[in-house]
Amino acid sequence: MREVDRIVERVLLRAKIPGAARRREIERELRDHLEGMAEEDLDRFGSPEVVGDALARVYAAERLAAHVARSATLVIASGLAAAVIITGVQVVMTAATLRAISSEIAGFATVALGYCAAYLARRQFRLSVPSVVGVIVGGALWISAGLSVLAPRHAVIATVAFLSTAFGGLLVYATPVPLLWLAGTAGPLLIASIALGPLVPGAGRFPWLIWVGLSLSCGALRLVVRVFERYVFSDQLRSVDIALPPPSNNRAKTIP
Amino acid sequence: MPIDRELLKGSIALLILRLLSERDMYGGEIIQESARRTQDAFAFKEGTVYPALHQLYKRGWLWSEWRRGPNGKQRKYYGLTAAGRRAASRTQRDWRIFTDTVNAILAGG
Repeated sequence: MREVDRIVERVLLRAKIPGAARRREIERELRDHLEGMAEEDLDRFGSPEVVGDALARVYAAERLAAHVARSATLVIASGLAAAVIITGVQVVMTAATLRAISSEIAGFATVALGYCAAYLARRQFRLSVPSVVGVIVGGALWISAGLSVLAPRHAVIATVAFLSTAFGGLLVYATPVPLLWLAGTAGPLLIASIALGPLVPGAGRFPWLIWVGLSLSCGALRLVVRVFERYVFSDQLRSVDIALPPPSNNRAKTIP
Repeated sequence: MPIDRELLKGSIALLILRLLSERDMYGGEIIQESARRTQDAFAFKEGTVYPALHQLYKRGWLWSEWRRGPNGKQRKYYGLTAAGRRAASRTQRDWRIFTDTVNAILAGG
């Protein structure tokens, strides 16, 4: 890789410019400038990190808006996927009539929020596992408080659903052990069942049907997230991944 | 003699607006022109001009377009919008007030 390419890439990685067209335009402008300089004069350009940080500040508001819009779209898509999965499980496994969907909306939303909170905190914001746990517990408290006012009958089960999918999601993104996330979805259900008794009338000590629904939802949301990572979040993740320090034997030349 | 970097930081927008009020320029040309006029006293790092240009563009003070430069190469030229011209006048006026005030203090009682 030429020195000019290296400098441009380092600027763009730090700048995290929202929008492919704008990013290409800035890349072209910087490349045009650098290619007009002699190789030995490239240090006159300044530190790529300093220039990238300054560009990042210029486009901070647009970047935040884009991130919020992408995350909101992910939560909505996840909510729809959760609705399809959970409703499907209820219909197939209970062979019962479809319960009123309106009474389930809080559950679908918290399932989607739980998984997306774990994904965004762990994968997008690169928080440590204890910090993600803090986010999940904080989120559960807010959801519990909100639903106690808005939909008191669903507050407990919806909060437990949030915790189940959040811890399932956390184990998906924090450990390489396959299927361990199933324990993540089961844990909050088990604890809640022991502490509070049957979560739904007629269910046994452990609500297997709910666990199956939540686990299948986690599996579906994992696919939804993969699609988003491939087509929506790809630039952000690439920035974060490449911005990590390069190996010492391939370290780019540092320009003061 | 090079000028302190912190002083340059605060004046880069003023400098860009002033140069662009004379004619449209691309980034490299702004750097060359400021260096030429100040006998290289304004020796800021060249990369820092681009965040400043983009900030001014976002405020609606500049327009930009790709066009061929004198050597036939495509360059991204910047020019002042009407709002940019008003901002240029305002910042120059503010700068003169500021420097007059500082000079009065430096001149002593």
